[in-house]
Amino acid sequence: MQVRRTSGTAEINPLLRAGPDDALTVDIERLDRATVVAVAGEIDLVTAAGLDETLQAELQAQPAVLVLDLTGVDFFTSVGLTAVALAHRGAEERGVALRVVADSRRVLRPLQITGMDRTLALYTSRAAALGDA
Amino acid sequence: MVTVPVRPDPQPVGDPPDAQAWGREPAVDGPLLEHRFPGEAARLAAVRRDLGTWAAATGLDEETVEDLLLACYEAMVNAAEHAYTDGERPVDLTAMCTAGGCVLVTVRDEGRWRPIPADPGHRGRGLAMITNLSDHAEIDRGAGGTTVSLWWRLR
Repeated sequence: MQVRRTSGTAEINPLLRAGPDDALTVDIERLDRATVVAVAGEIDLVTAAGLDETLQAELQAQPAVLVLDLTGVDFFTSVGLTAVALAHRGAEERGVALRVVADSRRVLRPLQITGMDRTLALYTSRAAALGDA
Repeated sequence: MVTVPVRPDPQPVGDPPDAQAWGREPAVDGPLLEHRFPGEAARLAAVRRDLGTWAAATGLDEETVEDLLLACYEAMVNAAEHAYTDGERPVDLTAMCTAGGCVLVTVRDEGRWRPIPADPGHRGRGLAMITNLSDHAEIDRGAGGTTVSLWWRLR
């Protein structure tokens, strides 16, 4: 897994670079009031732990809005859903608005099957998710 | 609000099998895929890619192949977690076209059904994916291990 930060000063956790291949890419962008975590590739049993760590780390900084952009994800397993569910819980505890961007069947079907589409704030584009942020 | 069609009649686990459709007899000369691999997280992606190549050649449409790969991956995750709980044990995946006009994938492990995880939602999500992404699912938790059988109709 690769993590690229386009702004921000946090050190990259070495665990996040430990994947056997680059099946998952995470881009983190910090804006004034929002942090955008854009994920691309496969969120599976190997890569989900890195996503979980990234999301929990970004929640620690307590941005007003955390946008999780999943439009680049092409394989979304229950392990990835769990990482999102844990981020949702962590966001509520810290008063962070978690907004999830998804526009493909590959991402939306797992969210629907597990009922998470009813509890998450879902947007079809990053611009819409950033809206007032 | 975004909506995506979900299969209209997902078959819950434990439904009596339709003997015509949900049989296990292989089709004559049908393509067969067999994999035995250690129940380790890092091994699953390669098996999934092989399964994807195999499934695309069966005549299933592209979206059904996506569903199959996700459901079978969830079954492999379950199996790998059983295998891990019990030490190093193999996982067996078999994919075939059946005489009844279906694709049948079975994932078998020799481990014990794992204890309740720290996040109980996790297992529920995996099972929901397995049952909702397949046309029919059966989960056999025996003393010698767990077998997940998943069917898709060839239309």
